[in-house]
Amino acid sequence: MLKPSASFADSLRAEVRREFFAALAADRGFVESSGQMLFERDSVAPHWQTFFEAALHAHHGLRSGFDSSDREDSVASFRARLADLHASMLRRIADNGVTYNLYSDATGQARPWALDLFPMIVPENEWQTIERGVLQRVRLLNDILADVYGAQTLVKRGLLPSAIVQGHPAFRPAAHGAKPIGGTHLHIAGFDLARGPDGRWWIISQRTDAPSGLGYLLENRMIVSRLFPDAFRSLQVERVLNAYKALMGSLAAHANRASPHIVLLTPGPYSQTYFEHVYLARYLGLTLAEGSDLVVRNERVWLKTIKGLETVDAIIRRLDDDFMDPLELRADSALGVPGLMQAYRAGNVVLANGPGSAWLESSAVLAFLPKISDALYGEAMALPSIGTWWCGEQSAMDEVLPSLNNMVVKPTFSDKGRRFVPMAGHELNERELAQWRKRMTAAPEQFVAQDYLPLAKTPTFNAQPDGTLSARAAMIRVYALSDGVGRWCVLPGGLARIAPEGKEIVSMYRGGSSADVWAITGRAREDRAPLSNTLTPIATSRSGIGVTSRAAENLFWLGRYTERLDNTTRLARITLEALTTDDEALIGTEEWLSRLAVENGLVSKEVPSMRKSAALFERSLLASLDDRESKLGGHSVAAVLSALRTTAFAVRERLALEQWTLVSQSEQELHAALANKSVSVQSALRALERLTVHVMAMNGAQADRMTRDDGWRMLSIGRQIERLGTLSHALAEAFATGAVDTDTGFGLVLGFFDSTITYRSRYLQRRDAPSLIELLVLDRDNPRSLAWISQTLRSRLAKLVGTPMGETPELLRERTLPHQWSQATFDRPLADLARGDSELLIDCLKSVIDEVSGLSDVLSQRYFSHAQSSTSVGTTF
Amino acid sequence: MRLAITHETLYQYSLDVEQAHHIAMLTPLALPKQLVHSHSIDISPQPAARSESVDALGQTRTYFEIASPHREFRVTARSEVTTAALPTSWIGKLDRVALPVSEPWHEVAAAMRYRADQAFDEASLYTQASPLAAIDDVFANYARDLASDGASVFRLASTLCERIHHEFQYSTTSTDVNTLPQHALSLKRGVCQDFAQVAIACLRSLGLAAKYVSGYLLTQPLPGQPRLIGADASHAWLSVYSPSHGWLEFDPTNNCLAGEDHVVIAYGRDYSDVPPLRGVIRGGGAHQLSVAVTVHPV
Repeated sequence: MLKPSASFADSLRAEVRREFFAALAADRGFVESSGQMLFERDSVAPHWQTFFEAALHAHHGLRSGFDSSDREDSVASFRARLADLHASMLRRIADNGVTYNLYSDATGQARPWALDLFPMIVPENEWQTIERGVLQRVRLLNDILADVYGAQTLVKRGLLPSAIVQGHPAFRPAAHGAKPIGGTHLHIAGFDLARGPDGRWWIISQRTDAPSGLGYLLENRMIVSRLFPDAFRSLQVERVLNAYKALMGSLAAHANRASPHIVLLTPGPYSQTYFEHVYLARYLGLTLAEGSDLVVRNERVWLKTIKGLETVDAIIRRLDDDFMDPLELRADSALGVPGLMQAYRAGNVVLANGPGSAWLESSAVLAFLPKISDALYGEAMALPSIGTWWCGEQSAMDEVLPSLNNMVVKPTFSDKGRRFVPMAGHELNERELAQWRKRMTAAPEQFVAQDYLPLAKTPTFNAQPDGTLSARAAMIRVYALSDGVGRWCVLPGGLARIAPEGKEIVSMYRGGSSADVWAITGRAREDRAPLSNTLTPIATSRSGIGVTSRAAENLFWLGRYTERLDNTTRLARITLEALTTDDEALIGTEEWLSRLAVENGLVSKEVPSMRKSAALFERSLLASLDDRESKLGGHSVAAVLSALRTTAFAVRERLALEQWTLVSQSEQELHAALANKSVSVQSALRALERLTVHVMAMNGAQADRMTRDDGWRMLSIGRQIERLGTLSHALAEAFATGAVDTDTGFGLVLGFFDSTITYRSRYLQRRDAPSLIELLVLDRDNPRSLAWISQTLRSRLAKLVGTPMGETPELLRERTLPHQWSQATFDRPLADLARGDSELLIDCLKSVIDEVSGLSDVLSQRYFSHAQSSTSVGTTF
Repeated sequence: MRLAITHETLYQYSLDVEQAHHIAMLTPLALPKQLVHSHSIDISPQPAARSESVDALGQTRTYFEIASPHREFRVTARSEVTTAALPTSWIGKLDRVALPVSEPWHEVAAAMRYRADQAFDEASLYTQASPLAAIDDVFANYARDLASDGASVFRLASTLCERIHHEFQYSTTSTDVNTLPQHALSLKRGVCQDFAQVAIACLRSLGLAAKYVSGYLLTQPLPGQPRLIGADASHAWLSVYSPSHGWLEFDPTNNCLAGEDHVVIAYGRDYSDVPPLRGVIRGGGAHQLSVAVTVHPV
């Protein structure tokens, strides 16, 4: 049984090795439990042996002098090593923001993705059976769909009961007669498999509508293969990437376009699995679109971009099919695209998957597949389904009722609300079983019974409490992907789902974890390095696809919020520092600081000004800093950060990973530093300083890491608009309140404009209004002068060509912005000011605020009008 | 009887509709009992795209898109058909009609149930629950006492329709097109759609096959009164299946069998399969709908 690598075998006698593994596992009753995958008979399965030996190799401390005498130490040291790896895995998950929205809550309550340290390894002989069986099955299911939406011979021949086809709520009469391009209904199919105690694999359920998991699978592989690179190489695990490439190529072949435009249709950030929609879109180079980003014109699907409409050739649909078209399916769906069914029927768009395939997910279908396979191909099922009986058939019901105690009962029809808890007969007493029999007899069609299969277990690592191994029940989801017209491939790998310890039910929803599935396929590849950490999108889409209106809007606001965070943080620092200086120096600037604090949301406008009560003002300002939900009436640092996070989340697919990580880390750090109710000014300042560093990094990432496309332009426009408005206001108020007339105030204004050093080097100790206007308003070289900002804004706007409606906007027509000003503009205002009249100067500066807010409104109307909702209308009698 | 039908639907919106997608099912079916001489659908404003396709049951659906802003939208369907008369003994109120012979209902229900390798009857597709005609005990119970063992399937359907006709109040304000038959049954009120869907749900809940018929009805003016233009309406009834006889159409609203006054547009599992006109619009604000149907002999 044992096939250890030669060098290692020399240093480790077989018996010691076995003891070593036993010691790793024994305290969890690991060795005794049956039906697990680590051991074969009483020795370690060869693939697990290879895995642990490679992991041990990597752990150099164990290589020399390893014998039974220091076994205990070695085990402890190895466990410590595993704990390190586990900690690094958790960091990756947190940094990448891998989440699962348990309660479909986009406001941030998403749960970190649960992943086990160890992969689940499927050895070659088992994988070959799985692959053969899944290929046969996906072809069969596709043929069944072609039949029920076509000639319906299967129902007519009695091979399928119409009750589970036409009687299933997910059967779509609107798809009847539709012929999908290439005859392919199923481009992506998921199969849940379980391994019995005897080592045989069984199909437990089929996912045919819009299967989830392909993104999580990829992320799992990225993380786990990098933690165990040697084991990954030694085991000759096949890479998964080619299967994704095959799918992209297949969609292109179906669309009959060399470089088709493929979009991933998502329900949006409220979806449970939004993370992986974003992840997949980015990885596969697809446009992430919500229903409102798409429109059907001339029976074709188009993407609404800020440059106009662009054709869509194929859609990977992650929206349940009943929501995809309010015209013909659920009329109350706000997530769909009216006319999409018609475009599909007309053969103008490839849908992965086609509508109307969800009824195949009914467990009842499994009972009929062997006969259908026999009738259509004369073949038995290569990979059997778990024994399944549809109770709507009297003869099946007669078999089920007496042996209910060995069965699991599930609903025949969709159970999206998960209200139906599957019945496990062996857990019930006679009285409960009798109740079930009664319930089933009353509506037999609604029930499916399946053999009870105790799930095989796989080794898992328990970071808590003590770094031991244990065996847990597991299932794997395996995917068939289309690979050209009439062909499929099986993704070599999968998504394992592991039950909580001691439980038999495997569900991410009910609190299990996932694991990477390592398939040993025997197709040794040259390149078996672990997946690289860098995302290199599979380039399939045409380049130059425009930015969707939705993405443009979010990017615009991301730009605004990033800038607002920068300004709010700086203002908070300036204000807190001012509050700690002696009172005398503050005279003359208090009013300015108070007004800015209110205008920028640092305190609510109900708070008495700094001059009235510095202490109260300070307390309010400190309390508001961490007020994420704006409960105190302001909109301070944490609230801005939270708004920034929401917009960043909505365009995650366009952001470098680091940007996202920066946002989530900033939030965690800020909250950790400020959560204390009686936070001191000093510690608040420290937290704000750290935040400033993060904001600079965010700005850096936005400036350096993003392609200069229309999306980036929108972000930049948002930033310039925000900056122009905030700085104009601050400067106008500085003159209005007379803050500039004091040394302290003059310095604070320069500080808020981040221009202190430039000013000093240019004007030395001089403090006068003309110099201030020159540097902060007119200077074309100072990136924080109003003229520089509006000049930048102008050039960004000039490069935005077209609008969703096809016209070229003249957004700046009839607007006067600081880049059009000159020295002469300020001759009179400054002369007035010298006589003590600041009105003209203030009006001039405040005019910018109006122009900017007008511009922001026009942009919203022109570019972001996608949000308008659709209404269904019908006739009455 | 040769009949000319004009079916005009008018939507008026308070704001511009910027974009609209519609599907109409307004084309009468060609059937052995119904000859279609002519048919046209006029749409205003001019659709940017329009296409006709035939669904699985041979029924025509007209899809169209309007891409230009509009405040008013009008669809006018004009058809001329010849309908076949019923045998004389089938004409009249249901309690007077000599129904064609059919099997006992429970034998039909048993034949409709799935058994592996048993010969399949296509009508059994219509024994399945559908969005607006579910299978539910409340329906089975409502019809239970009519379903004595010996009752033939058509006798059962006939007495059920009579019961609905007598117990339900015809009311245009109690229900709308999305009202579930469970609700209509508890109200004992509704329009022809509700009457038909309650009857269908009752029959399906007993294991029988029944389908929904969307169409028109020639309404007879009161003696001495002129025919009022636009006073007629879209109509709905149901069709019930017996393996030996085939389908037979009952009209519970008028307590009769559907005859030469009934023009069939489409068959479906319930209203949701065959609404005459549906649409999804962007913009539009509040809307007002008026429908005018005129059916007259030519």
